[in-house]
Amino acid sequence: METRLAPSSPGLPPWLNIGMRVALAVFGAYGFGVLAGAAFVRGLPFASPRDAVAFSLMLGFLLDACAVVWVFAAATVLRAALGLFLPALFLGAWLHFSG
Amino acid sequence: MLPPLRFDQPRPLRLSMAWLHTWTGLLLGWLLFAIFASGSLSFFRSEINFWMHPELHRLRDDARAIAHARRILEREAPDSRQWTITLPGPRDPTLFVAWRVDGASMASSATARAQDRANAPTGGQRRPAHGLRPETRRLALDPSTGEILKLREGSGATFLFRFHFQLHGVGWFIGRWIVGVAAMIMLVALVSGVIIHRNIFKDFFTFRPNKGKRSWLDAHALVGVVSLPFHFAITFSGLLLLGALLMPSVVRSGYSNVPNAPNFTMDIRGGRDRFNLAPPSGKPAALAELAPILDAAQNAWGGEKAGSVVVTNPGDASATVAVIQTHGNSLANRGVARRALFDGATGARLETPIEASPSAIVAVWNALVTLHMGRFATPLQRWLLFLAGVSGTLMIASGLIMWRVSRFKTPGRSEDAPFGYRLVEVLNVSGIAGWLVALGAYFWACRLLPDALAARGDWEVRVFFLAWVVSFVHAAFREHLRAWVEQLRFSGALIALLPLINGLTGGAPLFRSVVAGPWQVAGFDIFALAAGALLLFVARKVHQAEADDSPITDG
Amino acid sequence: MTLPNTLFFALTVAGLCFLSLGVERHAKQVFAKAPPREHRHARSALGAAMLALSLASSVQTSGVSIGVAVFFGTVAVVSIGVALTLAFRPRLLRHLGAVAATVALFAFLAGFFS
Repeated sequence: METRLAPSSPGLPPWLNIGMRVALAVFGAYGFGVLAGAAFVRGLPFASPRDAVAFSLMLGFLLDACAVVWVFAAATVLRAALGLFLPALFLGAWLHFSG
Repeated sequence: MLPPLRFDQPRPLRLSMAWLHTWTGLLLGWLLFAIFASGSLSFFRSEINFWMHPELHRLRDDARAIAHARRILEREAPDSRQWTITLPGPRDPTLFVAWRVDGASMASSATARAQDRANAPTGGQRRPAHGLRPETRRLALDPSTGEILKLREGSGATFLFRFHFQLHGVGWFIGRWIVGVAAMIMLVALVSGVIIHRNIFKDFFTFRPNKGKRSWLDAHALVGVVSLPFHFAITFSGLLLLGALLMPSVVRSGYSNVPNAPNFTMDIRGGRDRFNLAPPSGKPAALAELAPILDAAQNAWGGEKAGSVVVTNPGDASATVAVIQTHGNSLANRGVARRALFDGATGARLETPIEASPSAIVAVWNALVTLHMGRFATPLQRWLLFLAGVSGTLMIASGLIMWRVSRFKTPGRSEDAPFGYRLVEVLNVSGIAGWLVALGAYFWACRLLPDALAARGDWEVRVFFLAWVVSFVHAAFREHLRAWVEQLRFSGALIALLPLINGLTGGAPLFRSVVAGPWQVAGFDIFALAAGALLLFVARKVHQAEADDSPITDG
Repeated sequence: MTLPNTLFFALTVAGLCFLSLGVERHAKQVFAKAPPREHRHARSALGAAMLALSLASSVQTSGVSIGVAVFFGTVAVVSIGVALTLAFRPRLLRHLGAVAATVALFAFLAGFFS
C-alpha cells in the first residue's frame, strides 16, 4: 500500500500517523488543558481563589476533551500539532505575563 | 471486514470520530462498565449496607429515638463539644450517634484502620481526624430501646463505593488516577458518540429488535441518548471530584498567592470554618429536652421529617441544637438540607443564620458534583439517579457487545479470529457477565462468611476478585456464546437467590418485609429477584441464538 | 402517588407519546398508515408543549436544580418505555398519549381542591 501524500504532510506511514496523534492526544491535549487552566486561574479576574480554581478546572477538562477531538479530526498530523501548540504558546505567554 | 481508517488521507469528520469512539470504548469499556455499575449501586450504599446486617433488620422506630440517643450520648461523651444524632430515616432505620473527639492524637493510618475495624461498644467506631476535620466516634443504637448494637464486621457497599472511584489493591493515588483517566476518555467517547450520531432527534425512540447489529446499535443509541444529560453530567462531575488530583498545578496556581491557603477540596465544600465551633461560655446549663425541639422543628416545616440533630457545646449555656431535614432542596448549595436552630439551654427557636449564596461558578460546580454524589435525594429521586446510572452501564455494555457482533460473520465460531478480537470477546464476557458473577458472589460472601472470621471484610473482597478472575479464565476457555450463557445463568442464579440467602441467614424474609418492612430490605430483595430474572431471561435469549445461529449475534 | 408527582409523570408520558407519534416512522408503526404531515407536526407541537409543562411542574415542586434533574431523569426512563412499546406493542400508543393527558388534567384540577 503506498502512502498518498497530502499537501503539507511529510508522508508518514499510517501507523506512525495514528501513533503520533495518540501521543498528541494523551500528552498534548492533557498538557493543553492544564496550561489553559493555569492561564485562566492567573489571567482572569475572579472573586476568590475558589472561583478561580473551580472555573479553570471545569474549562481545563472541557478543553482537554475538545483538544483530543481536534487531534483526530485534523486533516494532517502537522495541523493537529499546530492546533495544540499555537494556542499553547499564546496561553503560555499569557500565563507568564500574568504572574 | 472494513479496511482500517487512513488518517493520512482526507476523511470526513464522522469517520475520524467513529474511529475515536470505537477505540476509546474498546480499550476502557470493561473498566468503565465496572465503574458505572459500582457507582450506580453506590447510590444505594446505605440501603445495601443495611441489607448486609441482618442483625439490624428487626429495628423499628417508635419516635423515642431522640430520647435514647441523648441518654447514650450523655453517658458516653459528656465532655464532647459536638454530638451528631442521625435519626432513623427512609434510608436506614438504625439510630446513629456520633461525637467529636478533640485533642486526640493522630494515629498512623494502619492503626486507625485497625481500630475502625474493631467495633467495640464502648469507645465506638473511630473515624480518625483528617486535615481540619476532627476525629469522631460513632455508635449504632436500637431506636426503640437505645441498646448499643455491635455491628458485624464487613465491607458491605462501602467496598463497591470505594472501588468506584479508586479501584482496589493499587493504592488510592494510582487507583484514582486510573479512574480519572478513564473518566477523561469517557468524556471523549461521549463527545465523539454525539458527533457520529445522525438524526439524534428522529431516532430518539428507535429500537428495532431481532436485527442483529442494527438492534445492538439501536439499543446502544437509545440508552445513550435518552439519558445523555446525565451521562455528561456524571462523567464531567466525576472529573471535577478528582480535579485536584488530575490537575494539581491549576489548583496550586490558584492558591499560591493566598497566605495560609486552605486546601481547595475543603474550600469548595464550604471552607474550613465548617469545623470551627463557637467557643463555650464556660457556664454550665442543663441541655433542654430534645424531643420537644424535634417536634417544634418538624411542625415548623409542615411535616417534613428531620434526618439528624446536631448539638453543639452540650451542657453549656451557649449550647445550640440544629435540626436538619432528611434531604436537600437545591443542588446549587451542595444539597445541604434545611436546618432549624434552637437554643440548647432553653429550647427556644433561634434565627437560622443565612448562609451566603454561592457564586455562579461555585453554584455550577456544586450542582454537578451534588448530582453525582446524590446525597440530596429523596428515595424516589434516588431511584432515578440509580436508573440513570444503570442506563449508562447498559450503554457501555451494548457498545462492547455491538463491536463484537459487527466484527464476526458467524456467531460463536471465533477460533480463527485474531488475538485482539478474541481478547475483546473474553473481556466482554468477563467484564460484563463476569463482573455480575463477582457481584453475586460478593453478596453471598457478605452474608455467609462466619462472623468469627478474622478480617472478615477483607475475605469478602477476596471472594469478589476471585470470582472475577475465575470468570475471566472461564471465558478464555469456553466458546464465546457458551461462556455468555453459562455466566449469565450463574450470575442470574446467584443474584435471584439473594432474598433466600437473606431469609436463611437471619434477615427479614421477603414475605414479611413487603408487608411490615424494613422497606430497604424489601426493596433490595425485590430488585435482586427482578435483576436475577432478567439475567436468566437474557441467558435464554443468547442460548436460543446459540442454538439456531439467529441474527441476535450475527453481524 | 402524590398529586404533584402524578401530574408531572402524566405530563411527561403524554408529552413523550405525542412527540414519538410526530416522527414519521413511529406514526406508521402505530397507525398502520402514515398520517398526513400536518397531523404529525401537530402531535410534535403538542408533545413539546406537554413536556414544557412537565418541566415547569417539576421545577415548581422541587426547585430549579433538582426539578430539572428529576425532569431529565424521568424523560430518560419514560422514553425507554415508549421505545420498547413502539418496538413490541405499537398499537398501545394509539391512545396512551391522550389517556395520560387526561390523567394530567384531572391531577391538575384536583390540585385546586386539596
